Amino acid sequence: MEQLGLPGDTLVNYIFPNNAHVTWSIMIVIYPYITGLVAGAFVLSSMYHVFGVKEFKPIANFALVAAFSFGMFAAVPLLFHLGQPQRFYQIYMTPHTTSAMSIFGYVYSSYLVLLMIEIWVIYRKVFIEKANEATGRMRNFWWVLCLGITTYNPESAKFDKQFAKFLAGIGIPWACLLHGYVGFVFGSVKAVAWWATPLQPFIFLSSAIVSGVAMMFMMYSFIMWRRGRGYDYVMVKKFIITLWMAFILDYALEVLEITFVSYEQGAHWAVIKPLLLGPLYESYVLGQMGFLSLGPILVLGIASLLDIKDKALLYLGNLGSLMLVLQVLVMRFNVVVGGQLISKSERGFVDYEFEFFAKEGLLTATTIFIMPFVTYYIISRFIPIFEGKSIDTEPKRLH
Amino acid sequence: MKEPSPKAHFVRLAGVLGVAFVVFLTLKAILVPSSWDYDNWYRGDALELNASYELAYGGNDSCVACHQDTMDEFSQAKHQQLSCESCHGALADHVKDGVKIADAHMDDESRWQCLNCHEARVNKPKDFPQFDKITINEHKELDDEMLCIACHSPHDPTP
Repeated sequence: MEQLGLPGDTLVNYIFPNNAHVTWSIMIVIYPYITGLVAGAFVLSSMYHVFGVKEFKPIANFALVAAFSFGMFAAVPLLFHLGQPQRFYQIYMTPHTTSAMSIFGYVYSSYLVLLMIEIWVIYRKVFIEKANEATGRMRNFWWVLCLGITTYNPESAKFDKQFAKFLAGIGIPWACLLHGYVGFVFGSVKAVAWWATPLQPFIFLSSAIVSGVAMMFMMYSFIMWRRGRGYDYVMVKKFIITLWMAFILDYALEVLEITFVSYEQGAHWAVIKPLLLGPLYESYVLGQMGFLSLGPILVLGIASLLDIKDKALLYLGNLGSLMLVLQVLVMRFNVVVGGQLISKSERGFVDYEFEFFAKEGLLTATTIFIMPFVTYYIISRFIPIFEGKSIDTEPKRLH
Repeated sequence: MKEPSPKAHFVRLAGVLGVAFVVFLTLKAILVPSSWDYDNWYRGDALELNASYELAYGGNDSCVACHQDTMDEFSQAKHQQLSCESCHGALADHVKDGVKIADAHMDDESRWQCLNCHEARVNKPKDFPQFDKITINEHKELDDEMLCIACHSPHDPTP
């Protein structure tokens, strides 16, 4: 049997009988992934709403609606993983401060409420227009959504704008808290050597922002391409620079963390090193830290620093974004599944096999992951998401 | 119609949120089990509920009344510390008032029940008989169809 220089030259797969199964499956991989997309998209939307970055005005509402669409499904993987979805409400009933996960219900829901209110304030004008135009049942629907106030005047618009700014302002720390909290849920599990680092919340948060911004870039490109309208290249450039900077920060944290653990040569390094060089070699060394990180730094760096314009800028941006979206996905995998590969004996590694049709298989994961995009599409049928381009006046494209 | 105040929608929103909050608190009050023990953080009724379940296992003593001969053989042999029900399954509904009401089932057509304990693992004592699922057929040149119980009686497994 292969020996990997573990303490006492012990063998690989020295595992306890009750430790043969990787309990937290691919569902727990996509749970922090989707949550991260929410946080990232929200931060992007706040660039305009809070910090007044004018270039991001055209995508501020888009990022907000996308954040909400992802937010709707952030906790769904957990329900699939736990089974018994009819007991979902119990997380709110008796949470205890000794369980980080049980408090997540409140952290997550309060954030979703905040998102809903912000979207409501921003889209109130649209709701009012719809309520005044529509007839029959749809009119009732829009009327309820307006809370019965169907007049819109400059003064209320001013208050709405101020309130939206306020919400986005408190939304930023809240979004950071939400995703930092997900990192905390993992980082506080001291039994898993590969998770238990105080840097975990920051790594989760920064990678969340990266994945969210990258996903928004790809969605923006796709939607604009489908609509056959021009791209806002000034904004695209700024988008790419933001993404590049966010990823440099994220990558620096990831590299610092592994350098720190490695340099410390702590008690667990003896098992973490063979984990990274063994079962996680492809996904961690080659994927997360290698090609999927150095690639985007290079590609986005070229796009940011050189005088690249138009379509070439868009292609480089999408290439970099695709790699980053995957980088964060494998990072979640390396943390969640990778951490559990260390046997509780710390003398070997548990096996993990991908399943496809199983209850927590890739098919379920993919389906859940597609749902936010479907939700976004449905919402976009009802409200205009990109400024000045009402869906009603949009020419229908045949495909 | 009188024009509503420019802040009227905030008042209504606050109202909606207030109502939602009250509904939430009400639901919480209803849905938290009444026996919830806030000091020890568990549902008090859970203990009574678990105690109220009918027993599924009868224990070895319940077998002796009818199977004294098997028990005599078993209690001298290497498996003496096992419970009858670890192989035969839960048997509380096997006999009622001295009359057999259901058969005791046992899988005697495969090896898994033996391998439950005797499958080879690094962390088991070396002198404990262990068999690798793959190399088990090398033991006495078994073929795939051959069962452990063809040679070893489960009640007295000494070869």
